[in-house]
Amino acid sequence: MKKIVIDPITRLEGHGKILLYLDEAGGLKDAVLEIPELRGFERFCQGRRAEEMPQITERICGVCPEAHHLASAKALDECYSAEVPEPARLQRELFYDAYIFSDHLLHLVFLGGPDLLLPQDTPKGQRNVLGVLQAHPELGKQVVKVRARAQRILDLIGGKAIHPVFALPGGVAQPLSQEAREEIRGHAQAMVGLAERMVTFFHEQVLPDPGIQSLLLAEECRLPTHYMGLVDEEGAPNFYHGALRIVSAAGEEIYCGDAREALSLIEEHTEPWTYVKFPYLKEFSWQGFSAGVESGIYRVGPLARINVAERMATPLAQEEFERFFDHFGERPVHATFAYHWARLIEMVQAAEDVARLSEEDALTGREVRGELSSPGEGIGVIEAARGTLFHHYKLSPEGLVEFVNLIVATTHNAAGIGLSVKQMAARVVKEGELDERLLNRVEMAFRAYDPCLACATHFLPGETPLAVEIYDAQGVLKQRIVR
Amino acid sequence: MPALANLTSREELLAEALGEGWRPGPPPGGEAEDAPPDLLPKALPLSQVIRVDYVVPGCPPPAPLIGEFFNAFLSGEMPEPGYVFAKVKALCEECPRTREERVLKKIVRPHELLPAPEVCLLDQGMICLGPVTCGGCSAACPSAGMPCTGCLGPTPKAGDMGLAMISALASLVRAGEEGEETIPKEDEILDALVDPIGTLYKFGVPTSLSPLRERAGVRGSSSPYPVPYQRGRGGEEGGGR
Ligand code: SF4
Ligand code: SF4
Repeated sequence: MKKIVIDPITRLEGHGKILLYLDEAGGLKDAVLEIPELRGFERFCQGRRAEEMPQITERICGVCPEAHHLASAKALDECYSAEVPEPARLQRELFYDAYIFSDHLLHLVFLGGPDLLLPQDTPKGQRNVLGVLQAHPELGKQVVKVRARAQRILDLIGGKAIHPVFALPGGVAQPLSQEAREEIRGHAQAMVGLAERMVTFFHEQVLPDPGIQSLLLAEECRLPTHYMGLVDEEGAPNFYHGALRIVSAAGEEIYCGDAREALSLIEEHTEPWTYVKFPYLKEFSWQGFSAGVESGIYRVGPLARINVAERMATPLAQEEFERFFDHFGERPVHATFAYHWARLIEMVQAAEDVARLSEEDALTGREVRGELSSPGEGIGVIEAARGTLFHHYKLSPEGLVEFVNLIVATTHNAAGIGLSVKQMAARVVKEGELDERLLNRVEMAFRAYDPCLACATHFLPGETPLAVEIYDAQGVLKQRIVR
Repeated sequence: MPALANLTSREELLAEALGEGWRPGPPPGGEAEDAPPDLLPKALPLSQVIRVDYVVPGCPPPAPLIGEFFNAFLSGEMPEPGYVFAKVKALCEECPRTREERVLKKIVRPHELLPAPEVCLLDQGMICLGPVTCGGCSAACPSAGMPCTGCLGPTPKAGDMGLAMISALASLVRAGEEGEETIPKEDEILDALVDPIGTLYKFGVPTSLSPLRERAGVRGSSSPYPVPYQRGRGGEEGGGR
């Protein structure tokens, strides 16, 4: 039997490997996405000081430390049965919206951007962030500047933009100064301005492209699954807190309630060929790697959040939300490449929310620490840029960690990513051959999810360290494509 | 920091994460070589796996230090290999908080106290690793109201971060007039330092805590690459002090 190995996949934090198994005729038989590493946070966090957890777990990932930082703090709030005072909550929320904005922008322009913002036939040497900047110099400049301003907000509140230090059980480290607020106000205006400009750009230059249209509407790029995400009281997506809503592949509500209790609805399936576990909805039981209404496989992240939402929380985002559903004429939207569009809608909401929160009087309040009771058990749920993130801890009476379970966004999506990769591979692998351009298609399928494995390396023109090897039935190397 | 995993065995890590009895294997229909690799026995410092020419420390390295590296690199005036792009002086020297080295009467954890804004955190009883960590981040964490956890690594003078900090604490702790009878009380104060390994070696497990023979690790005992911190170090003053 022949197989094709894609190893390593580009723009992954850590390491990932795609194995494509071919049948006799050279068509696709099976595809798996293998994650060949494990670091064991669940074990080595045991014995650590509870208040260190936001700073330890954030090091799971260099792309979304902010999400782990606050999911961890929220789990600790509950471990200590603490009410987080208003000023501390506002600091966390504003910080978090700035992170969502910054992370989505990073993906739209730098990571997924080359797939989205450049014509489909762009030669490989230009299909990278520099190509994007060259093709759209004005927008590019604005993006770089405004992203730096969003990062500056993370720095001002978090202490450090990457691996922040400010969150503690029951609150945050210290009050925010009035000067910091003034500065944030200015940054927020620039963020909203860019968000608006990105929307216009998307509708004028990206969406009309026939290549993009076919990716959005093609049957092979649709993956009907259930969806999960946090919503506020009015049913709008909320990244920091809210009720967890799960909607079926047919659009029916499966669950809407306390996010912490939702953990009991999920079970995890393990496979020997990957260190990643596959969560699924218990009530459907594990049915193997298949999508659809009957399967327990669900997806999280931007598309999932838009699919479980009734509306958006802010006016510009709401307009875009309506255009999105008008375009597809279905709900939920199952098109995997709609993840990118959903990301844009969320980025708009995050920018508008930063602006709104920066005006709140209580933001600079002095009361930033809630009262702590004796330590116990707690679950923190948050929407990371890539989807729902659970931190579950049990603490000893001295406030040391005894038990940790983490379900991260990319884990929820692991089964979906594998299925999308398989769909795309089936479309592009013909007679056992795969050319360089088509290879990019397989990558695009998982890049749509912005896997948390993604990291901002491999961007300079030309080489991305991706190799595909095709072996014949005897295991002899037949073809090697290197990009 | 992920090297904290070295504090437990790889079997325990696997059992905790994937359940007892889980073993790597190939996907259905795949060959043995398609299975994911076994976990390595230990996390190693990079310098024991490849030759490290220069070190830009920090988790993550602060932008100004990365800038210094590129300035040197682009101007063609790189220092001797082994150079560490951080300050020789301790973090306290660049910290905006005032340190008076008051005695330590009580150890408090960050969530137990909202610290006074301008006073040294260590003077307020928090375990801040500033005295033994090298400068270069403008004391980012103490400025944000949180103690330093040592991500830039130890100063050349400190050498082993944990030992240096323990000796600093031992000389600061004071339960009353000096003398025999206060010693148990001082011990009691220091007992409040829970999880000393995780606190003092959060970023130093593979470099400081592995016994030497283990440090050679999977690449065999003949690793020619020394731990970079033991080499010359630059920064403001160059060369160590
Ligand atoms: S707060 Fe920390 S870094 Fe600052 S002076 Fe005190 S011990 Fe040194
Ligand atoms: S204060 Fe300490 S932990 Fe914080 S960034 Fe600086 S060296 Fe790292």
